[in-house]
Amino acid sequence: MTRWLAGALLAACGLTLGGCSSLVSETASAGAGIASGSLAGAVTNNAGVAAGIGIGVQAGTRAGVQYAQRRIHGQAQQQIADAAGPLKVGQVRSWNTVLSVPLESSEAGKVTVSRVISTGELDCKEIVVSVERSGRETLAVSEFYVASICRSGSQWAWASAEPATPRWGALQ
Amino acid sequence: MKRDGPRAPLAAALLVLSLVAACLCGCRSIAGLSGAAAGVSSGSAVGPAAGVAIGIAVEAGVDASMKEVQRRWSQEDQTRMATMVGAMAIGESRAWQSRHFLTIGDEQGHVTLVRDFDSALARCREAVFSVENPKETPAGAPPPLFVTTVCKGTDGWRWAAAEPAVGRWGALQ
Repeated sequence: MTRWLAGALLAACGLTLGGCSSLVSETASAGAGIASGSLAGAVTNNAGVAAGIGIGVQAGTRAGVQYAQRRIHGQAQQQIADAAGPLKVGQVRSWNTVLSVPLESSEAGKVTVSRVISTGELDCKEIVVSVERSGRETLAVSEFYVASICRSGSQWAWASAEPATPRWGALQ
Repeated sequence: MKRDGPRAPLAAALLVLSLVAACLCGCRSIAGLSGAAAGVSSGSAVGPAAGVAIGIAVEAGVDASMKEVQRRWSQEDQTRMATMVGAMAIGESRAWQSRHFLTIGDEQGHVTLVRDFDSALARCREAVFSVENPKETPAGAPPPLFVTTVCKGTDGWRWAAAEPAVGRWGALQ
């Protein structure tokens, strides 16, 4: 139920807010928390109960939004990994993301393999990804990122690990 | 107004506490505490449900803006280190530091260029950097080391470490 509510809110916010994911998350969860807090306030005079309902719905909505963000960004990573997987070192290919929910801007660019990290059982490659378009806008300056992909079975997947915890900084 | 009496000092105390917390833990908890302060101070005046709503809204607003500020700081730090690495020769080591408003999140250490590689899209470099924080590293212990990647675009060297795979986001989000 919460997820559907989050999904509806997101679809509405996503259209206008595009890539600003933390604002989408904050707005959706705060909106849900406020709405349910006020609703609870109408049916109970107990401030503690009203606050509990408001904060509970807020937490649930936030979790729903974050789940949706992970799913959509997972799609984007998968599409880049799919494009890069079959490439040999030095080969270049275009990629573009097609997202099922417009929670973040669709992007396009090029990808190349810069290094084969390991072969055989552990088949991994280092890729350089350029981002040249974000949404409908062509970026004035291409952005470059370096990531790793590994093959599991016949499918290539994004393999960059999370930053070390002391380097999380503003990420959390 | 009289019934606000006991609440006002509590709200003021919470605000002071949130400022202290900002200095102590790098802004992480300031949003929740400001939200709580706003909720407590307004709740008594306009009713509990509105208090909850105001508290939640203030928390969301402060949280989003704190994250924005921290991201901008991190971006400046990253670009500064990337520019430094771009100007180095392989094996060369230089001191780096980041300084912020009110010394929040200040760091320093050394950065060493370990690998320079060309790809079909861009020239990139891999660097190892240390974070030397006397308060967090026990005396005599070596500082922690981290690896990062930078690439050269048309506007210079930029931080290029991509985001982790979604499956590894865990508590990061």
